[in-house]
Amino acid sequence: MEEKQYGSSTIAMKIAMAAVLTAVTAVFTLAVRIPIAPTRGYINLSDVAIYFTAFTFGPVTALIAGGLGTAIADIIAGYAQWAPISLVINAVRGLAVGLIIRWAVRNKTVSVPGPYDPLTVNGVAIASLVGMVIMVGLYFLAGGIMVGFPAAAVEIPGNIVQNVVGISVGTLLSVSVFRAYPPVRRLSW
Amino acid sequence: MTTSPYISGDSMLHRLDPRVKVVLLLEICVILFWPTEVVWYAAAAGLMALLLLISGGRRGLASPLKAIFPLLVLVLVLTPLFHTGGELLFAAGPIRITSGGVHEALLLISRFTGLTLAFALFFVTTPMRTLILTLRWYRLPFRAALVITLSFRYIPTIGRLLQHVRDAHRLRDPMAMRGVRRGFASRLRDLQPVLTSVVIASIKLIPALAMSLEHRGISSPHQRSSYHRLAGRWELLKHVCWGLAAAAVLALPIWVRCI
Repeated sequence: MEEKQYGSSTIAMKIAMAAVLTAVTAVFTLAVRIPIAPTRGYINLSDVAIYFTAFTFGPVTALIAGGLGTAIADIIAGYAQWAPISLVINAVRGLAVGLIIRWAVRNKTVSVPGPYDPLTVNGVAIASLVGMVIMVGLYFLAGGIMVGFPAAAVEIPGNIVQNVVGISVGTLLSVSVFRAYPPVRRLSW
Repeated sequence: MTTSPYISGDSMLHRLDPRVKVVLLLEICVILFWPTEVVWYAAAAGLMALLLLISGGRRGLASPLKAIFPLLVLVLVLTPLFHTGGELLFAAGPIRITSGGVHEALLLISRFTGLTLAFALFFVTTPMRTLILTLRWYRLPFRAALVITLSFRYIPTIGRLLQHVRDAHRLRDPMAMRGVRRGFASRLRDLQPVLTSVVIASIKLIPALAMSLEHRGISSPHQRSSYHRLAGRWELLKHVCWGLAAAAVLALPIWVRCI
């Protein structure tokens, strides 16, 4: 039987992409926790999923999966009061990072490093910086309104570490997926 | 993997229509940010705690409180250091604790506890399925509701997939099998192949899901699939009456402030 070749053009495909990547974001947030020895805290991989989705699947998928995935994870993990905030902040971040990457790829800001890598070095750098500023800044603002700015400021270093991990692992993950599974290039939305 | 904080029960809040509960939750959020006395915030938090204890039992109440406890301690310690208004209560070198600082800390703690318990109360008494139907009733587009429903369906699948891939990678790693503890960078490096496998396996689920959605008429102009509808007008009206009574009680601090 001939297998139908799917691109991201049909409505069903867009819904399927958004749903599966939302689930991936929620699972990365809930199930993967890496302890940080000095603070006895931990970081989750929600940022990895958001950067990966924005780099690989484009701004609209990153907007939906980033916002919904982290909000669902907050609800499931018992931090439902943060869910509306996570929904907005991570949706905005996913959209911004995805748009910058798309702009960078279209304008070819730096030569493409390999035959399967549509990511550009400049694009990733600018998008990561913007993504980090959006996430750290907006969480600080929201945290300040909820629990006061002194307590919200304590979260800043942790958020920066989580972002740096998200950017580095997310970029590597995106490059690995482009190389190991080239059909993913048809799924950008 | 658990995909919902819902605790089954038969309390009044379990039976209250979720459309009314959404409005009440929004009202509580407004009240907790309305400029009023700290005692009202504390009263609202106390009421939420009591309702949560009745609806979700000790587990339902302890779980959100345990999650926010470190943050509350942080607020209690840090806030008085940055608010120096009011009467001086304690001074040691550059540290000055004033009544204004303590008041601000108590206000933030009461507000955040109230907010946390209100959200916990909503999700402990409302199943996710009902929540999606409620969002549909509030005019959430069909496709958006479908994305949420499907992602809840796929969270356990991808969670299991992650566990299988992790176990398979651990079997090939003698250090992990012996329980040798590793540093942060090493853990991250080990995670890369696991995440790649999980992501690719997840992406491969997309075409099959899209195909099954098409078979259910999602891309076609004549839509076949639809959602159930929540209970009709009369049932809703009864619940709205209950909701209005609850809303009037919750809005007491605002009435008092206005008078």
